[in-house]
Amino acid sequence: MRDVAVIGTGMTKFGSLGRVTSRELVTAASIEAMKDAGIEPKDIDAVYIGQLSGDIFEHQMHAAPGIPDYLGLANVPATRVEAACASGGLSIMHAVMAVAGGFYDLVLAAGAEKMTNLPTAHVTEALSMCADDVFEVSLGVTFPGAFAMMARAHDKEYGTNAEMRAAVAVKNHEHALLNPKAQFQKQISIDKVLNSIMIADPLTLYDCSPITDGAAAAIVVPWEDRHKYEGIPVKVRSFAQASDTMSLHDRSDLTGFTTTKIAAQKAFRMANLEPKDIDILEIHDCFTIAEIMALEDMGFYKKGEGGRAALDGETRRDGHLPVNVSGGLKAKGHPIGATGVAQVVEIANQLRGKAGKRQVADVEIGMTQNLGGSGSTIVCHILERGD
Amino acid sequence: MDLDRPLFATFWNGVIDLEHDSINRVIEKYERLIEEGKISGSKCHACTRIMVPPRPVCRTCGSTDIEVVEVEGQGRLLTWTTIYVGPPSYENNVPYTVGIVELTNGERLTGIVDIPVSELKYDLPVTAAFDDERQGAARLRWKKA
Ligand SMILES: [Zn+2]
Repeated sequence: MRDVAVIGTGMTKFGSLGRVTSRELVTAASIEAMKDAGIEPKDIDAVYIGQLSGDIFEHQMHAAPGIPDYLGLANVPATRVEAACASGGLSIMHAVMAVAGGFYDLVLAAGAEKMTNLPTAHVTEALSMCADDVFEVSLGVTFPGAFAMMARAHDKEYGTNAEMRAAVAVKNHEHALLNPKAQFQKQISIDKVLNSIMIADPLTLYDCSPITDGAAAAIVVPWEDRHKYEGIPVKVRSFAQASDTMSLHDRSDLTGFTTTKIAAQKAFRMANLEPKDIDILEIHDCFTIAEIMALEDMGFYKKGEGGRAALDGETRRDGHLPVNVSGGLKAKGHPIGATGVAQVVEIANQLRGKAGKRQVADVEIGMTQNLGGSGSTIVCHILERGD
Repeated sequence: MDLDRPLFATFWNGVIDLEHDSINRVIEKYERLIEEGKISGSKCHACTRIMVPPRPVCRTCGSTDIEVVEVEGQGRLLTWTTIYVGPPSYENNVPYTVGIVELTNGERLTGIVDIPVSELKYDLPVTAAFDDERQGAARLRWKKA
């Protein structure tokens, strides 16, 4: 197996982007990534795209060939990867595996979603299709609902409360103030979170990530080729994926995700690293409680300590463990298929010193955690600044 | 596009060639029993585990020697949420409450909770009931025991 490097990144503005297709969004993000790496479209051997549902959101299936089509790349293999909200992370992982396995030497790993064409109720329905259709969705369970039930179980077991969850939202909104591509540039307060409308009790509107359009892209090459390209390379130290039951009720623990534990442990083992070695994190904060549970499940905090850590500012950009400096899904936005790619883009940019105003000093190793469904898929990556 | 469960809430009315049927149709069996007002699970004849809802392969021992059997509809409320923003199929029901219940046999099942929110608490004893307005798995309601 070959070591793998990320040598270019790109991302569109995230937000409500009007009349545009996800294909155009991926094209823009990919052109930015190719410029960053100093490559031409003709250098690309293969394309992966993470996308949840071009079919429902845009009436467009078979998204993958649309990417080389618009990039002017005839006949390049192109594959769509779908794993609910972990589609993007899995797109990166498949690109990494294809390069690691020696099948391709230059792969474009992208992700995109165009979600704002549909009214909120229909987006809610589309997203809920990532849960168990028979035993959850038919009974009206939504994703906010599933995470709300976990939040309530976490509250009971560990005394986590609404203020702790709100602290996650406040922090990620504050981070997004420094990210010009984030959907929201708006400072919020704990009171604002607590007093916003209830979506699924105990989660309010500001506990939830928004509906977003956007795309992100990364260029993946063999580590041995890294000096052929421009800029500082980032080494992919490890990747890992795990799955769990479709229904929440089929799991013994409702206060966290076994999948996050397993994927994180595998990623740490493959990289021969421990949580204390990680300088910066991008975590799947689709809901505030998700960031709290992930930090616990990955081993950065003991169970029940994640909420307090947010409240005490430990996970802020200037804290000892910066989490979601991009603004996270919460404030940067959550265009489903793009999210996992955008996490890798943020970590890569931070490690290469290219994160602009939100650059965190002296970061060498970063990690991502990308979640699909109610944790039925988890994908983790560990990245390190190369030379 | 109308996403109000257009494709999925349909029942097969054709003829199944049962002699050559290797599929253990656990979901159809669950749906048939819930139409009769019964909750069901799959009993593994290899290790005696009962799983609710039923599944075609035993999660404990991997056996496919599975039979769908009725189980007791009593349990306690583990967690719940009141949903204020629902999908189109539940738009007229908001706010409504869903919860996960641990049955007396230790298995767990999600359903609509038909109990006033002010009375909800962890470990509240509940019993299964069934909504005649809905079909299949969507019929399950949790009421106060
Ligand atoms: Zn068994």
